[in-house]
Amino acid sequence: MPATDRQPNVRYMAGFFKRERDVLAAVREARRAGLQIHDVYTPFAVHGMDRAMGLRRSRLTWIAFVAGVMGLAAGLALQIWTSVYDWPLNVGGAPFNSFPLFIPVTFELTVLFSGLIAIGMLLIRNRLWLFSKRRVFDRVTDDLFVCVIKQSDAASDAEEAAKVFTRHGAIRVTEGDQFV
Amino acid sequence: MSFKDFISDRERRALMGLLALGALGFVAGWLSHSARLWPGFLLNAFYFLTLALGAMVFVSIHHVSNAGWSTAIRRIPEAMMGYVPLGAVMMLLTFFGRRAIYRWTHEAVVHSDGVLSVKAWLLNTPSFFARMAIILAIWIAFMALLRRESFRQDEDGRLEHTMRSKKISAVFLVVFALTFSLASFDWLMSIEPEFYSTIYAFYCFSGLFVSGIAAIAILVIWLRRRGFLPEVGEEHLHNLGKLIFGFTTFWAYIWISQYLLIYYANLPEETIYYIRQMATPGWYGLFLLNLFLNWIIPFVILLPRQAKRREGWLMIACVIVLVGHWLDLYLMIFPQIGAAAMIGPYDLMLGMGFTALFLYTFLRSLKQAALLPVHDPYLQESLALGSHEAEAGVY
Repeated sequence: MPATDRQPNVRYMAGFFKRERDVLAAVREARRAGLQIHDVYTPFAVHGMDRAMGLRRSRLTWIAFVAGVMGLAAGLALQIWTSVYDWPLNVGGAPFNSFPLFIPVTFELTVLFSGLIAIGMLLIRNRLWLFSKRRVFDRVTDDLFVCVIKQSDAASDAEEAAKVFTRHGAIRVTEGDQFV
Repeated sequence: MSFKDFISDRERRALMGLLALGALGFVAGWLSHSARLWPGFLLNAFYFLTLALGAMVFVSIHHVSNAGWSTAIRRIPEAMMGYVPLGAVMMLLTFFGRRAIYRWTHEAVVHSDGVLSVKAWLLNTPSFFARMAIILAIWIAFMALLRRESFRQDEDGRLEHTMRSKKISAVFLVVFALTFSLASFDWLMSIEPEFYSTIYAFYCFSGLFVSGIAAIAILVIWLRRRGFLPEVGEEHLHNLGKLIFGFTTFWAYIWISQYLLIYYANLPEETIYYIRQMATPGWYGLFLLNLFLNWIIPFVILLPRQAKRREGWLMIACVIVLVGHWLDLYLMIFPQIGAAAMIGPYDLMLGMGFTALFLYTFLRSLKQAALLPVHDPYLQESLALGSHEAEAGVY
């Protein structure tokens, strides 16, 4: 989810929901009404939320792919360099370049690079790295769903957002940018 | 019991033609005393039996795991299961070709070979075919039970059929693991009777499962293109695609697990299996092609999300996987009897005949029940797959 830095003079409206179904419906209607969804915070991945918010396809898959290729190359290079060129050892008469034996390590490094770099990039992009100052809404990691709408040019956006939220059973609507 | 609704008269005649071609290939091979005839027969008999068994394992896992999404396509694997009895008959027919396939059926060879005389208590003709008959009978029994519960629910709509299917499936999966292990050791591994690999059965299973799912996907897409199964959408294809993607990789994992240990240990009775496959340029080419067809190409094709959801791409990947597993079995049988690396006319003609036979039985079985299990409690969940209701967790 795109997490931009907070901007001055922009109002943010947050609607708090008790049920997954309600927050999905609220997001859909807000989008239909032309409101700008800043982000939605949920305790777990809500199926269909990406489509409801109109998110673009994540580019993380490409990062994972490129990282995997890097891991593959690193794994092969490490083993071929050490056991074929730099320090060849005769192990039971097997050829120095025993390619099949390199596959397990290559596989593990591919997975390791791909996994770690993808996680790292994800945390950097959503600004949740270790010691990040970013705060979270209370209970949003527990049982609350929060939809935040960013005010665009129209002055009435905030009121419109509040209306959408209450219509879909929001238990609380607040304004503020301290969480954004 | 007609299946005319599914195919046109022309296609029916084409199937007949393929069947005739298969019969012709068999007769021609018989008359010319070809040494490749019976190994080719075993290859095709086993291959198409594994497609039906793969469908059976798929249905069992569907029941045991309380799967909802696959309910709408379950009638396709259930129809594929209908081939098991005929496939069993075909396997038993290898009795007449045993001397062309299994070295241990020649008594002179067994007597002059210390290892084979020790193994003779297991590898002898009467007990071998008795085991084969028992194993095949067990599979047929489970097939009949699973189909019966499913079809009966269409009539009376009672929940107990779902519960009973679950129990039958659970027992079947355990029984199948044991019987299929024995079957693959017996029917395939004993072609090279001095060779053994403990992962061999698991390797056969990985091929069975991925080619079974690929066949299911092809038949689902084929029926969908003709306007049947309008309820099956992109989400169902996506799930099938994910399974195929995952299990081609699983196959590669088991492949390397077997290859690596044999390579590493370097024991003569084990390495002979791969030496035969890599000794001549012809076999080595097929050996490498096997890896490409069964893993590298489908892996690359199915890697993007969209490829798993598009009929066309999924179809291409599935066809490659099915051809690949035919080749895989070819590599497990023909190098071991010392044949030259050439896919001969008899092998291909028999393959066509068996394809026709398999499709015939499939279409006949498909006709025996509605295309959707109408009273299955999970049907709604399956039909709603990917819809807003399903996404909001209503089901």
